[in-house]
Amino acid sequence: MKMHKRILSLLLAIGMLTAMAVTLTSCKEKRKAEGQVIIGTGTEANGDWAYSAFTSNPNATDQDVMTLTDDCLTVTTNEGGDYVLNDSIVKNYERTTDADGNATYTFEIKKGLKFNNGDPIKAENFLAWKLFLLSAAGKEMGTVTAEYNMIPGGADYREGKVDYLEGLRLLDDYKFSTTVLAKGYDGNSYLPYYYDLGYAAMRAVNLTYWFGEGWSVKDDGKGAYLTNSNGKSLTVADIGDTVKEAQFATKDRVTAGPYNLVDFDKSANQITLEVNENYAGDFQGQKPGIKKIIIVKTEDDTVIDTIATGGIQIYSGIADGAQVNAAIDLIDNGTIDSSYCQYDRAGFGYFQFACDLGPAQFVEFRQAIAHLLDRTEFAKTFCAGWGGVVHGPYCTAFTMYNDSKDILAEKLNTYSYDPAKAVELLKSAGFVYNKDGSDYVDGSGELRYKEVTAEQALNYDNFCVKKGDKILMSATLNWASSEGNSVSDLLVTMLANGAATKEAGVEIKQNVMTFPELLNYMYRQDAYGIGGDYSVPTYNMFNLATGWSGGVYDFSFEFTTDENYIADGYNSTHCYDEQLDKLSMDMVYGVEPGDYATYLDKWQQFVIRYNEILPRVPLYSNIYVTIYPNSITNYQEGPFWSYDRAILYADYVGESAK
Amino acid sequence: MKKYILKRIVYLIIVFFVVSLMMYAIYNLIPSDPAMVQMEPLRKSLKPDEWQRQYQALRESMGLNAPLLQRYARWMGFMPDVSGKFEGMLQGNFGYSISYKRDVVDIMGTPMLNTIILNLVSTIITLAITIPLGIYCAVHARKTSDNVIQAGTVVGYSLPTYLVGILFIFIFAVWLKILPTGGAKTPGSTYTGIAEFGDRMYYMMLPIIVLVFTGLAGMTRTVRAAMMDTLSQDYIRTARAKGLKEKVVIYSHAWRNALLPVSTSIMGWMISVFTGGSLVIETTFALNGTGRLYWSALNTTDYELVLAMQMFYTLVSLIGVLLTDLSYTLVDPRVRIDK
Repeated sequence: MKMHKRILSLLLAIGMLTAMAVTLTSCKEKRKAEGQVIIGTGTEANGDWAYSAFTSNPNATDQDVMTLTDDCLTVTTNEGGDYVLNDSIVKNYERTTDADGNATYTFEIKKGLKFNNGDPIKAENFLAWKLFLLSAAGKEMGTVTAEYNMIPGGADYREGKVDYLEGLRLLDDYKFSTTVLAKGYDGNSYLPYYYDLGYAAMRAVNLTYWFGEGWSVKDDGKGAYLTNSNGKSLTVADIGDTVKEAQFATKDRVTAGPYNLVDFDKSANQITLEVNENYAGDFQGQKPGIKKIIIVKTEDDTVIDTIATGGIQIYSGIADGAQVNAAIDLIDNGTIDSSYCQYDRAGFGYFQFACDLGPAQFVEFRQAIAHLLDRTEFAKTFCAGWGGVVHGPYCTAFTMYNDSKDILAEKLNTYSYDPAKAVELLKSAGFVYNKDGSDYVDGSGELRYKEVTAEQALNYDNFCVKKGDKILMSATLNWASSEGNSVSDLLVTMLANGAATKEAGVEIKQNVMTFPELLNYMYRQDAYGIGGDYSVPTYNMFNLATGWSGGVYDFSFEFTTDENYIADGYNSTHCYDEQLDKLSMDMVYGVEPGDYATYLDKWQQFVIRYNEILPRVPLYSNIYVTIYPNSITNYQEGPFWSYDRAILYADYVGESAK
Repeated sequence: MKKYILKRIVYLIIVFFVVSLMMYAIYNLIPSDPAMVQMEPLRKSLKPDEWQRQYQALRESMGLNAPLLQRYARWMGFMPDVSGKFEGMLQGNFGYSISYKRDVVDIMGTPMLNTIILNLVSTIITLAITIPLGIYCAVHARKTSDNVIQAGTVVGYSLPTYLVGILFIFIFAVWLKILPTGGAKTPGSTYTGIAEFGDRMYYMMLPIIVLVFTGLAGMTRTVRAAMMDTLSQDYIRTARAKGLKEKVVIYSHAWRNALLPVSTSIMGWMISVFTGGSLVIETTFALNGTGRLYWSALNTTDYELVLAMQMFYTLVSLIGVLLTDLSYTLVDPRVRIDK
């Protein structure tokens, strides 16, 4: 009897679980995509959908459309920006290393995956794109990549010496692998690398769509290669036109993302996307709940009016404080039936020094400059209340930051507005003379000078005077400022022309120039093809901004002391600090993937050291705001989760649902 | 007549090539390096020596190391390029856009069509209003109605297009809610035929209204001035003395003669709006036109695209001037260009 009861209970439990599973499954299946939303974008789409193969700087709207239409990748990023396996695609994954430290990433993908036209997705689809990208034909067509340096056999394959790529293997219909060299053909070290999962990101493409009829991937044991049953070869003559056609297609793209490109109307700057019924889901299995998305071009000057009149419904990542306030007013006064979400920007604005030129070479001087600016007020004014200030090279969205809040609060210098402290630091840096060599009197408002060696005065003659055998260097920053820049305007008001700056005996000379020219002066080379000699150090202050598109925090080589790298434009702050250099390298290249504790420790040390020697002074970090209609729910963007990802999780509930 | 046209065409060709050489030289004076633009992304992933080798190879393959005149000759198609083929403008190759990553000829079509439609419609409406208005003002010169219109045109002439655009967006889109703020078609619409045309025109209406409004003042004043000048001529007095009806005097005698300077202004105005596009209008209303394309190409130092557009404008302008001269014979029978 007791046994019967147990069996009955067991059967009942199994029955309930089955019923629950069936219900959950049917619920998931029942999630039917409905409705449409109109998204505004300030960037005009180019209509180049070649996954950045021919450009290192893809158009933002093109990039969004590619994510929305084609996210069939083995590795992707999550809400926190971290690399994760795409579980909707990958069935099994294995990472192995050999004696030389080379890593092989082997994937087995799920069966039953399909492109939007119904074609099956197999292992060869994940190998094809890389085989094209790294090929000699790809090179001739202008593919932008240096990946051939890090894949076994890549160098020869790129030059067309062999027609197979040793480092890519087709193991069976659903299994393939890619290998990365620890030491690349270019002499660079690629492994160990904390973020090495990113190396294993492979994209599935439809071979017929991209290269034409008859193409497949084969592997005879030496490596994968592209072959054609119709006698065509992997040359520009045979595939060039097809690739170009696929790259710039305005409709009927064969892809495997949440949406299909229904139409790109260049004439109207309008992109229409409709849900892909064959989509397998994102890395969490999420499928879109909105049937149709329309992306339209907006103009900055009229975008608020366009929102007010319903011309667009989602406007993502508004950074301008005035625009944010205007958009929120529209919601508050009932002009639009919308809501908004906000998140911290994954980046910050700053000014940086050339730490080997003029007074900026002295740490105390750099710290003094930071104390002369009320950064809190600066951030408040510039962001119109929608932003704040950070004290190091991080954004508040990073997991590392949130895991280090206490230690950073304790160890980081906030460089609060303190002119007296600035004067103290200037004195300790040696800026204690007048131009004539006499002792400086605090509060005189005159320019301070410091006695320096000929080596310290190098390239700064214009701001140095000779008094007998002494060289006196003025406390002058020679600032390269880009034209039409509102940050520069505020810096002029609050720092360069600030009363505290003059009172402290410091001078900041603003030199307005184009942005490419500014970068050339910063890199000390003609990196932007302007022409001219920028090799002579001229400016020692530059205002810029930086951002992280994903959660990869990699400052490697940015503080290098290697002369070759410096000559090649690395270390633009010219801050030659061995400790900072070592930390920036060890943080990513000295930590095994997954060893978060070691990584975090090095990250904290790096941020603290950076904050101490101050190659850059962080100015502001915005709060971004996104307006979205109340006809959708569950919509939340984040620093690493822009609308092209967040939209999948939104449900269409119809007008005036709230 | 034929001889005259032939002679003008020969002049036109000479001028075209002189202008093309000047343009090419000027744009090549602007510091820029297309090979550097392509190679810069690889700077951090290649060793310095390897990067330099590839950069130099790319410069060579793009023909950038050749002297200016040789590059011009290749660009124009007088000389074979580095691959040994004649692939210049004369062969129909207008260059390659480094920002759009495709042939210039593939980029220009859509914006050109948008600009032509926008300006053609607005020009027709503007002329339909300004010509009668200008004539009316001239005939009623210095009367109250003329003074009011003159004051209005001074205000209209003084207002920047940008301001008018923003103001009209507020009035028609935000306040009255009868027209869209910008764009070129209803988002997501799949209209075809008449419905599509109607939808396009609905979206183009506000930019057209702004263009017409800003164009009213100038052309009204031109027509008025030309007509007033003609109306003060002796032959007009004679016509009136003969007892001709005022309508006949104005429209048959005066207007025909006033048309000569007016047609020059109209042609010049049309060429400028068709070629230069309407940068401000296109930017304010998010329209994809040539003005915006040109501006964007300049900002991104996409000089092959800029040069191609410049040469197209040059050609249109030269042909436009020829057509203007020829149109004089139609407007004014006294003009005999074959003598």
